[in-house]
Amino acid sequence: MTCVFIPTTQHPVEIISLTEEHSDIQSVICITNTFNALPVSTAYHGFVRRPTGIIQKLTGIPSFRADVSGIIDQGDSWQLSMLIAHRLHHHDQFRKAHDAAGHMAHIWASGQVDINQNVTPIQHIREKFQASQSLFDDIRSRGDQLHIVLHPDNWAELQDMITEDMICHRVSVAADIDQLLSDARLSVFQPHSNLATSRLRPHQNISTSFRRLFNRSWKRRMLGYGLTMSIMISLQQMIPWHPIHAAMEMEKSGAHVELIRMLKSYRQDDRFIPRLSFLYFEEAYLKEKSRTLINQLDMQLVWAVSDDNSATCGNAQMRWHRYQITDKTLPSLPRQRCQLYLEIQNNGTDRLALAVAIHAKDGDTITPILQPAQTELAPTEHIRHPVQTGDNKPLIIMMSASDHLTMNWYRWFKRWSNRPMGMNARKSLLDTGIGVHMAVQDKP
Amino acid sequence: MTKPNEAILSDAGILFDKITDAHLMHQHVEATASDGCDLHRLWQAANGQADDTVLHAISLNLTARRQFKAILSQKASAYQPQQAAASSDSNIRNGADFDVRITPSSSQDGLVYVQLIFHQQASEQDTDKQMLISHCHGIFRQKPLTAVQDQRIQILLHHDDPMLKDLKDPETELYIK
Repeated sequence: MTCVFIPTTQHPVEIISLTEEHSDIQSVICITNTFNALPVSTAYHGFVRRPTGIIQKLTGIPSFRADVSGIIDQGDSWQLSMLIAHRLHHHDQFRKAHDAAGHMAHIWASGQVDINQNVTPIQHIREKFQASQSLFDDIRSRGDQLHIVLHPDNWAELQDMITEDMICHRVSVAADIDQLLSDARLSVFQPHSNLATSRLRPHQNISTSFRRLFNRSWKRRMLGYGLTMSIMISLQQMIPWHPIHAAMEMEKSGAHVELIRMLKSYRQDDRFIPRLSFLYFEEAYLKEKSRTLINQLDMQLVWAVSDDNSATCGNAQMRWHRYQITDKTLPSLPRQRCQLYLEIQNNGTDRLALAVAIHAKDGDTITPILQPAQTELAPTEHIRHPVQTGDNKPLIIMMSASDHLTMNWYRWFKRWSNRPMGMNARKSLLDTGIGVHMAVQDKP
Repeated sequence: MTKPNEAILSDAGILFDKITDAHLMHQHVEATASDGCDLHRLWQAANGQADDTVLHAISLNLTARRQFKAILSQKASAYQPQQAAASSDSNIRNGADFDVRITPSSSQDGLVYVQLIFHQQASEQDTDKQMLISHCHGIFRQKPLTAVQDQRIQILLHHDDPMLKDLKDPETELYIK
């Protein structure tokens, strides 16, 4: 496990957890289990969020809650520790990597960081180091690794206090921090070996692999590889690489109309390999992208019922329920409900364009409840549409998502919204990598 | 001067002294507001300088409550009246001076963010906001505020905090001092 400590002149403070919050929330540092925001929270918010913030620039996430073990009153020396913790968190390494023996890597870091990850020295470093002695003793007694991370000037101040068992990292630019993180990650898995020996391990693995390869019936293997290669080369010459590349570029630039024209022309191509290649491109790239886009959305129906199941909807007596829309069916909803919303959140890392329409179904008649609307959702942002259902008819919820806010595909969505059971417009969306989802209620 | 006239003048002098005696006047005011909720305390509470026990005492005293509301109406830099129940989502309150947004932390450990989002002009006029005071069904509650940042103040509450229940109740009136 990799733990990160913020030294203060009173005591070292451990970063206990980092939680990604809704983009509207101002980033905050809390003392764990108390819900008390520390005075440095305002500075932390500026440290996280663009345009001044470095963390959003690195991770794309605009808001965090950091839980720490103790009080940090003032100053900016927490920035280096926070940056390291956030970068570990971004690579899913923060307080997570375990080795078999349960050893840990502890990072003790202090320094001020600018938006380009340049580190500047801080004051009172000797007092901070002195105040952390009991932590260092504890780490030593457990046989864990201790990484001391400082600006070279601060390191020079501490030279006489640093002991041999401490792994020192002098950081002043972004590349130094990159190196530290890669070292810390490697060493977590090999706690008793030093960094030099840990770097030997990959060479040993490569030589072992070569020995294994040639010890086994290598002649037969080589023949097989040769045959496969020759088939691949001849196939490769028949595959229309340039048109596929052009199609990918069209999709990336949002030229969906041109893209669908090209796909149609290759579907009617007489040559087997080009037709097959484009079929594979559609399945493996476009439809996969469509599925990925929809999977990035967290779609929920939210409704409230009064506590006593009566028709009165006083706020104090309401119970709220949620249903996550994951498949093509929607549940029956209580008739005596007070409110009903469709809530959609972007759980991805990119900004998404989203189109939504809601209808009521009465046999073959479709009545719009929410007219088609297109909107944009930033990462972690969510929208909430009220669903006003006057008479009890089954609902149809339709939505599309894309990384392009263009009219090209939205026209198809509106056409699909007019005929939810029709296939043409929906297929156009699916074929061009637009996320598509429709969920229908069997009973109201 | 005749004897009765002297007596009248003497009584008038005593009366004048009594009227201008600050201590006596203070006692008189205190006597009119029971439970120690005198005007001075109400004034202090409306300035965000009273603790929760004083607010509790005010909540229990009808006269004090009425006077406190009147002082708050004068002193508050921003106000949000009761919400129309049908239009309110319990996590969002909109008002002319400011909006309230309630968002639970994604770690789902009971922490809830309450944001007071000030409309442009209101925030420019007055950035020195110290206290959020709620009034719901006769009960006053208060929470200290942090500094305004990006036109909003964010406070952290536990999901069991009575103030949070008040904020979700459309009947609640909110004052910011």
